[in-house]
Amino acid sequence: MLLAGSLAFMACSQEDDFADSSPENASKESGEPQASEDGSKAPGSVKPSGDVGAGKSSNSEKDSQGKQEPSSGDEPSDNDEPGESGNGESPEPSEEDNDPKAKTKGAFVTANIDDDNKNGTADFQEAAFAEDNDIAEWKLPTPTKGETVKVRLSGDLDKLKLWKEGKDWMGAGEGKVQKEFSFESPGESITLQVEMGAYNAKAELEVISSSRGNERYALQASPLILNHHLQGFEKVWIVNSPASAPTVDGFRAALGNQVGVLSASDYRNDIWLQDEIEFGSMTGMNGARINVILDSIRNRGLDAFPEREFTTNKGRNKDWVLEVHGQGRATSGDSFGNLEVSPPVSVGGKKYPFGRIYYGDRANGKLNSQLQSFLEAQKIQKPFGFDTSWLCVSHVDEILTFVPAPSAPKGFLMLFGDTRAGYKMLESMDASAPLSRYRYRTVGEMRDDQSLRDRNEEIQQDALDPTLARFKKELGLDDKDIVLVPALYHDVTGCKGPETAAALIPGTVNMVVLPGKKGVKTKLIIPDPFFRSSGANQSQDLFISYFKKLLPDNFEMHFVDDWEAYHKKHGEVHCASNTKRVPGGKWWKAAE
Amino acid sequence: MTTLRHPTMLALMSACALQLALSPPVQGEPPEVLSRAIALEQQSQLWQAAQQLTTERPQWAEQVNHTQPSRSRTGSLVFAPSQIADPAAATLLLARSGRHPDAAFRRAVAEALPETHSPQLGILIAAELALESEAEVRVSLAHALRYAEDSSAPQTLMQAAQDSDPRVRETALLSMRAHPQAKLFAQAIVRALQDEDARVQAAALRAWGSLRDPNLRIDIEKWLRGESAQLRLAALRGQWRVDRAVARQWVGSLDLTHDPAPKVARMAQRVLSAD
Repeated sequence: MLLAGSLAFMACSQEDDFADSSPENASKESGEPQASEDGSKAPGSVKPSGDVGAGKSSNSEKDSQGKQEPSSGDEPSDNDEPGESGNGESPEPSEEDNDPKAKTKGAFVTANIDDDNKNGTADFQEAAFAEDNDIAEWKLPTPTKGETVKVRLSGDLDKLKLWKEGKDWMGAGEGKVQKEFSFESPGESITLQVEMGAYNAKAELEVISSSRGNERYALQASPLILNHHLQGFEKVWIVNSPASAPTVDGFRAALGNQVGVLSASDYRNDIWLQDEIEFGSMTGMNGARINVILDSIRNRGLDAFPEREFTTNKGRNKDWVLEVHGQGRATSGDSFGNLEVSPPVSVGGKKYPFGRIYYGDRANGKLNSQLQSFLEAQKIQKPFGFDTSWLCVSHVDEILTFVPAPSAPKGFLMLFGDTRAGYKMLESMDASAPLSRYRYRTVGEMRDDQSLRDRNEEIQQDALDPTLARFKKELGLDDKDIVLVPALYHDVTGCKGPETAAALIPGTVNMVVLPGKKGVKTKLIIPDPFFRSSGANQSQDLFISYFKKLLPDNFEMHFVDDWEAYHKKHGEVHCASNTKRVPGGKWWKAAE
Repeated sequence: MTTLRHPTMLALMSACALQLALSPPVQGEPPEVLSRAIALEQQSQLWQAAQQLTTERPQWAEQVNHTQPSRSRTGSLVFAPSQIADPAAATLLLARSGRHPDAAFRRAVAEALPETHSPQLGILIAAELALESEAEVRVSLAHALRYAEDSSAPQTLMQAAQDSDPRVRETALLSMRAHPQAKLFAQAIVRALQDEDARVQAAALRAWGSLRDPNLRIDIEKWLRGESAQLRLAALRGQWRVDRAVARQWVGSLDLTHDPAPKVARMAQRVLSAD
């Protein structure tokens, strides 16, 4: 069966009379390998279409190279649809792509930098081979039969190979770069195979004929797109250690077999899974998907995780790529709790349909400049940084998060940890209410600690208020898009200076957001704030009751005990875990 | 003076330690710094106390003596609170720390001390503070002192405020302002305003503000007119907490709403806009 995407590509031409319904192409749609004129296999036609047509990872049939068992949920789960308001549709081509008035026309594909034959070499660097599923077929309209057509290719020619019937046609194939030539039009669309060799690689194919004039087609590789919290989830991972057992139990209770549990002893007791990697993807119009793992230069125990589980062939695998950018001594700023993505936003008329990347840029150190450059080069999620230096760990996930909210004006809400909201909450509570896990015996003792209040006032004025203003500006948000979540910070040592802050009350914004199918409530895994006496349960927890009233009712909330393993070590459940999600959608509609 | 809970802790209270503990907490003059000889004597007694605890509560002591810190999110070492949540654990931890060659471990112990809820933190920390060679560990010890409520705590905090390293002095001042008996430190805080290090001055200004004592007047003009935005902010905020009317006057006379540092300008706006 030919890739469904070929129809979509065809539809990117502007006129119906270029539609190709020839028997030849119909047979290609059967998916059978096509013989070229010399009897060799055309790279595009040998593609196993089943791998890519559904817009899902092909992991379910993945190899024995460290992939998860199906029961562990590595394959797309039932939750592979976007959240209620999410942007998580699969990249499967649609009728919309066939719109002849579509702004873009051309081929939009994954960069063929994975390793489908698992030999440790990026596929683009190799001669075509049968298992390669990232060479996309594309039908190029041609003018009247017999007319001489001139084609001219420009752009990133060293990162593009165009094949026709198994033969090198244009681009960088066979070691030479073919930029232009002429041929006699067959009078019908010709089927090409497009292969790109780098993220965001771009080229333009100009077709010049006397009858149709000049027509230009874009050929472009997907950028790396990092995930945001409105995308449906496929699987969550967490690390089990003796101390983290209550946290792991909480994740299991919330997610069943959709959580993968790693053993801390396999990873030198590193339990901070959020900080080691960031999941992202590339997608193509033909439904192809390559999972990309951004690997932090942090390189603590969990550094082995992606290579052991996903990218076992020198940082690659079939449909998997590992990216590492930067070098030298890592700082806390290089951990990926310090690298997050907003939901889709529109700012001053500029749309960011895949959200914007944000990170702490004056952290304890900061996000490595080489990584910043790499992310900026992707363009589609234009990054911005802000000051997180007041925090001990200095990670953005300590301050805010985003959740889907169909009833909200933009379909999502930003949850922002706010100390004024923290004191407002404390003042609404019975001062004599007992607390068991804090150094304060009652709510009143916490509320009345003047030095704590002074410090939180300073944090609010000097750090949180400017941060909130910055997010409003960078993401085009207003007050209706924001929920101020009660938070209090206190000073801790062990970081870069004598006074840096960490969450006093477990930072509830440091949550895991897991949208499910339409109509299914989004699961929120939230650190248990323990605002109750030792004998009480969560139903009697004052913070939890208060918190639930702040949010709309489209959530299934799970408050998980992370106190000892994570909270007391300056992290929470988001820091503890990592989530693989359904790719975000059709980037080519936003391509520049 | 706080009553000692555990009999073995009595061993800690040597004549020297008692002398320190019973000294008037704050006078106009800075207190005497604990001498190394006395600190060594105290440390020796701490080790004896730890040995005694090991004999008296072998199973528990075995557990505390073998518990290991694990990595926090920043990579620093942190003890699990549940493993050390016993007042007497402070003695065992400090005994381990005193013999441990790794500063990161000693720092983890210093940060863990408040989790023990020991009622003797002030006196226990005094000797460590005098003997510890690494400034970063002393920073953590000075930080832990904000949770120390025994009668020796003020004296020990004053000791930390005279440390050779400005980071330790800075932390000591911030612990003073967070201390339940913060008012005891008024003179020490005022003295620290003359410190040669700007960070220490800023900490002193913040501590002064948090005291909210209208009788403790200082002239903040030199800081408000100075180059350091950190000091301008600390001075203005401190003045705001002590006396709002005076703060408003300064904002007006120095046009601080147009301060080049956004944090200072925002604070100035707040001073003017508040009731």
